[in-house]
Amino acid sequence: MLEATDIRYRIGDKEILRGISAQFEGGVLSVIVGPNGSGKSTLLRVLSGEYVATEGTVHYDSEPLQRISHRDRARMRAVLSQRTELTFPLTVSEIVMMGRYPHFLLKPSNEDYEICEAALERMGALELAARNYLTLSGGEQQIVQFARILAQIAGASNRKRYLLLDEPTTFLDLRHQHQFLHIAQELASEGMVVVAVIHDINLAAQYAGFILALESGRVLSQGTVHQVIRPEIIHDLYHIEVEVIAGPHTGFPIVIAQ
Amino acid sequence: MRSEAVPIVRQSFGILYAALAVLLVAALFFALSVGAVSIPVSQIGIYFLHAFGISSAAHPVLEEAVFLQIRLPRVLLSALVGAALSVSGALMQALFRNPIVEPGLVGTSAGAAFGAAFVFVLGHQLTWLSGSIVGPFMLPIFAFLGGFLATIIVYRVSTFSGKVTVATMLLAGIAINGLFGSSTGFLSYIAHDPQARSITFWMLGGFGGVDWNAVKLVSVTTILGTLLAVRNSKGLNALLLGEAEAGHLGMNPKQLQRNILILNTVMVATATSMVGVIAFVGLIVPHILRIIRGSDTRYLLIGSSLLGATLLVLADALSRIIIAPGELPVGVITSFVGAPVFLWILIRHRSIDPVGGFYA
Repeated sequence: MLEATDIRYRIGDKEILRGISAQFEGGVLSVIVGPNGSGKSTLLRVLSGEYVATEGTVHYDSEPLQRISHRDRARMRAVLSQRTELTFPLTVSEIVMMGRYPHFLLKPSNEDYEICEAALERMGALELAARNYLTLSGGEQQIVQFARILAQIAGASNRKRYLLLDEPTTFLDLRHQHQFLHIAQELASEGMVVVAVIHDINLAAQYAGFILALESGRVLSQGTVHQVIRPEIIHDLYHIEVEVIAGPHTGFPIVIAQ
Repeated sequence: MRSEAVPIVRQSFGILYAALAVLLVAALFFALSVGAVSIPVSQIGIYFLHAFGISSAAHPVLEEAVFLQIRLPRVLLSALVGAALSVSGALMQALFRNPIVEPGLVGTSAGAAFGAAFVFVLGHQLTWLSGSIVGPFMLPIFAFLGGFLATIIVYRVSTFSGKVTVATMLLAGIAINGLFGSSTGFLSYIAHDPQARSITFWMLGGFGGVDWNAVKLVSVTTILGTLLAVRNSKGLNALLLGEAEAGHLGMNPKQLQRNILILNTVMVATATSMVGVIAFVGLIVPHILRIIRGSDTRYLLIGSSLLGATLLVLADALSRIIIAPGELPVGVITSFVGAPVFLWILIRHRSIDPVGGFYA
């Protein structure tokens, strides 16, 4: 379990997170939603340890984050950004192998190679292994990065693996968006803690098992999809009038602006 | 579902390193045998055996002295400087996340040149320094200070929130090179001969008149620097993804960047303070290696040390052959060869790089 307790984060006298408490469990995909500037990405960075909270604590499986070494953190939690740009023509397998850096000193072992192969295989991208990363499409690049972070936390037991996805689908097309969140959901159902910041509320509604809605650095609402994706809550979040209908076949709520 | 897929190739660079090492040894022997006095390779062997006290075969004593005191340190120094500049090129390219960076472009060389010119012209006035324990090391120390100052300014100006802006880096490099270049020009203007002459010689780079002390100093910084750089190659690779990503992989990007900047400047400044400014080596060598086997930093660093040494040894040999018994400054040769090669690389990439531009 990943637990944030009364997190505050200030830059200068500007308070970006104003006392956020939340628990993210394995089993279901956790999604953080909220308008621009609500503090979603900042919260994710505090959870990952990239930012240190001004007040409050983050616990990984009841261990305070500050007490875990950077190397140990890297072995159990991985972070995926919106987009990772490269200026050098590295191959896909070299990129994925970077995920194993916290695990070997100088040279990768055969096990490291096998883990990278398995990660690429899981993303359905093993045939990209020898390709130059720069020649891939945006969607393929993001898939390779996903394989890299999977390789990074391979080896730890499922309950102690944490994936933090920072708007991973922003630059992806429809097919890749769904492929991505489907895999994220699958990983969560295996017991991993998977927390994703997602802008698209309908996409979130389809895959999330737990939604945390942030507004101005505070938790506005949290719970299951049907508890959070409701017209009055969406209105309080984004300040627009919406109606929420059920998908005719899937039953997932769909938000439509009025 | 993809059981037919080929697994990831287990990268092995051993054979390539061995080939590069053989090339280096061949270049060393070639360079040792050519010059104002040509020495057959068989004779070189006898000198070595004698120097180590293994053989006492009859040989010309004067020629042996020329070989051991002039030719040998010169060739070894050119190898060390070639390695230092190329490793530094590979390091800077990783740090700035751009393959066209080299010590000359980001101001390291110009800064080091200014530091050295300062010592040539005004060093004797700093009696409190030159008489003290640091006296013999004043040249490398000032070269380091100048090089570090120039590099850190360019790096800070061109980096914003963890990303390097290429255009800003080039322009900052131009500004800093201009500033330090004209400062060096000013020093040579107020200098008297022979100070002014030594600045001119130094700006062109050359291995004339080097001795074993230079070899000792440069070998320490180059070998230690290269080993430390290779130790950091995982971190440098991770940094290519961005500072935040390197942090997520358990690295400390800020500390790494600072260490690499210092490491790089120590190597370049020591080498430059002994032999002057030698351009293009740091650019061309990692580039050739990229064409051979990709951009993995560990491979580039090890490969650069071997190939860089080979190429500069050959360039120096060439500088002694072309107008023998006279010699050309080696910096002239590297620029004459390096500049057209660089242009060729630019043109080639313009047409074949699918991403467009120079690695975009």
